[in-house]
Amino acid sequence: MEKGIIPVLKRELKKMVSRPIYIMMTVFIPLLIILFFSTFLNKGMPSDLPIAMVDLDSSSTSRQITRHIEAGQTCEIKYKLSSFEEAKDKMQRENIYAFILIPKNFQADLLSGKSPQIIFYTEYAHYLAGSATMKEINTILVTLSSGINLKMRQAKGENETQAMANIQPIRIDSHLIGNPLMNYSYYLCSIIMPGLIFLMSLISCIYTIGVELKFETSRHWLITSGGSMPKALLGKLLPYTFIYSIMLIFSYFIMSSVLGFETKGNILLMFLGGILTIISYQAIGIFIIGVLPMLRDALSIGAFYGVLGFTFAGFTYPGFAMLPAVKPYTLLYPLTQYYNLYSNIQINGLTLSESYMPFIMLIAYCLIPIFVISRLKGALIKLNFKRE
Amino acid sequence: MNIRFRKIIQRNKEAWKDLFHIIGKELYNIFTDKGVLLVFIVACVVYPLVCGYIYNKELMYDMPIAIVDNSNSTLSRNYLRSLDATPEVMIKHKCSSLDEAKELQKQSKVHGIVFIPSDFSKNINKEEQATISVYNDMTSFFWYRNMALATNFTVQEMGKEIQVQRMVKGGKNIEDAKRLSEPFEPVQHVLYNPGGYPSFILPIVLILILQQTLLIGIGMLAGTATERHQLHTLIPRDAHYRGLLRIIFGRGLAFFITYIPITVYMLVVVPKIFNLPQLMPSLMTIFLFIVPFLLSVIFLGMSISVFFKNRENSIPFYLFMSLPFVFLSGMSWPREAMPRFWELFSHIIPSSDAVQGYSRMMTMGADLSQVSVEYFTLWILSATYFIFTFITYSWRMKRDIK
Repeated sequence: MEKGIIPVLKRELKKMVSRPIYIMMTVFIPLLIILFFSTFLNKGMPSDLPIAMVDLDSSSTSRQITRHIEAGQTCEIKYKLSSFEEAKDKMQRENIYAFILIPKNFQADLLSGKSPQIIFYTEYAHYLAGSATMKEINTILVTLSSGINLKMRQAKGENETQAMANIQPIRIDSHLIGNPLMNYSYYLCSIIMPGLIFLMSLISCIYTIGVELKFETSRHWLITSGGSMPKALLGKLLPYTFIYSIMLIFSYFIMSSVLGFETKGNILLMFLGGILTIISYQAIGIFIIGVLPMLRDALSIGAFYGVLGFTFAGFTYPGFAMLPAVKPYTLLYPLTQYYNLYSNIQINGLTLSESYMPFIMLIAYCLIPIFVISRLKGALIKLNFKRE
Repeated sequence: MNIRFRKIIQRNKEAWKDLFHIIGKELYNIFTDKGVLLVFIVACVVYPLVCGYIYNKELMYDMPIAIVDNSNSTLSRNYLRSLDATPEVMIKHKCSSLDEAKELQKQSKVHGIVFIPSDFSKNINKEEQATISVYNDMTSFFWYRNMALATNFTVQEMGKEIQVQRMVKGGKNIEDAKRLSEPFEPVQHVLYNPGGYPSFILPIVLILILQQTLLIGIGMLAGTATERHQLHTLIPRDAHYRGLLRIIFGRGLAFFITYIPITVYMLVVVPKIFNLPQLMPSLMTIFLFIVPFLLSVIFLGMSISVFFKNRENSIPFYLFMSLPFVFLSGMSWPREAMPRFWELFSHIIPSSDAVQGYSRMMTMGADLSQVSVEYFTLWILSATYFIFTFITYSWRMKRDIK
């Protein structure tokens, strides 16, 4: 019998085509992930979010306000209601994300210079929709108030530039570095799509090693490699590294050419970083199954560990906001390093020499299996862990 | 007539006996399976605690930013002081040039730059419009959000002050000047969940953990049954395991009973621990609402589980779905912004409607009638998945007999 990496590789490929679960993990699921995230968030920015208007004044001014809100991108006035209670009920039923209340005598108070209030009610139970409607309503109302101010000043004889300088003495000139269109899809897809591919590389690694233990084929595997653990692991895991790398590059392709996301830095560096992250997750997979050489327990622990990575990596919730005691745990996840690479290279356009730290960290993760390799080898030979 | 009636009772007696036997046996299977217990209990207990601990609401503040003050005047220093005083940002670096600040931002040492040009105070004193430039870090939307909130607020406030001062200089009294500077005043009220991100995300996470652990656990048990029974059948060779309805109800009820205490812990105790909004009318409404959710998840899990030949296959199959399900819930990404297909698709996943209803009951105090659409959808899902279970179980049993 031939021995070494190539025979192990061939043996693994045969396994991969023999049972549907392998095709599911390596091809079907990654493609589904790419399909889902590239079609789901295609709008990039929510628009036409339903809100309600409670106009107790029904004057020409209040109708003008209604028209301006309707003209905006983000909100759509879906209901015109007659009381606060009615609007609150609609909100609790999730028919609207916000409502605006124009009080009685609004126009009269406005004209007599009493500075009446317009109250708008929002909620943060739907965080994104709530923030987006809040921001838009506030902007439109502030602009309208300034507009009235402008007219009053012009009536008194100020010219427009002068009046504007008085109404808005300071202006903000806003620059959005790296994502000028404020596209949520760009921000979410760039991490979640690769992130789920990384998760699958972790799970498949634990699975494929664990299955050898479960069905007691591990000795055959080790013998095929010629008794060398590095050869056995390389031959076994390389096909997965390869497939997931292809999937990762395919996801980049979809993001850049179909969704139109730009990469400011060198895209090859992102590829390199992504592939290193895949290998890092596989290394952690070896570590987990090495410590716990039982398929079912290792898989459960791996799943628990892997999913938490999305919380820890800091892109849904910034690292600086975490408790100091939590911060060190972000180091448990290669995904954190990948997120740093995305910030540094994709958004900020840093070069390799300016952003080498994440790469060094990722290479360090790849060395983790060293700690468990002899324990795992022992388990492969002795099969001394209870199976069921 | 009488005899036939008695016969029916007799037959039903048998059915009840079988049902209770099956429930008992299935509960035994659940509680003697270490792997399933790991998923059902340990994951359900630990995961919410970890998430709640990470999403700590007190700490979303004081994001580090850099400033470049080329004006270096009383006015610019006043502005920067008020900016630093906002809860959202904290001035961490004072740079001498924009390039220096941009370098810091590139290295993610700061997450935003405020640049004040040299003509800032000159323009204000000349009563011309002054400009400040803000450079937002878009690597995360949190950075952008904090920066926009802080700069908009401070600029508006300072603008109002300047306007009022000018009018006072022109001879108006302060009260009149204040009113004139703002013909009407927009006031914002956050009616629900002023706590923001943590109390928004945790209800979603809780419902999803319930669903995903149940699906994975049910898949594991079906895989184990297939591995363990002689001839690899899904149903054990047991005299009491007869009648498809008895088997399905027996198994389903065993999962349901197991998940009652877990659900109470997740949906009632965990929100207490982390002080999440708990505006629900009563605990009973939460419980009533969650019954069809659990049933639909259980029957969904059971109808898919017939395809698992090994106990481990359910983890790779279900795990990756957790994130898409978060988006499909319509809480993080609004329903109105979803493509039509995915919006319709979202309703076949029990968690979508369950998250909507649960979160609105907890954070917005909605009662059962206000979540009736979701409640109804969940009952329809329960019925549909029950029929699916019936179909897939009978298919599988026929195949097993062959």
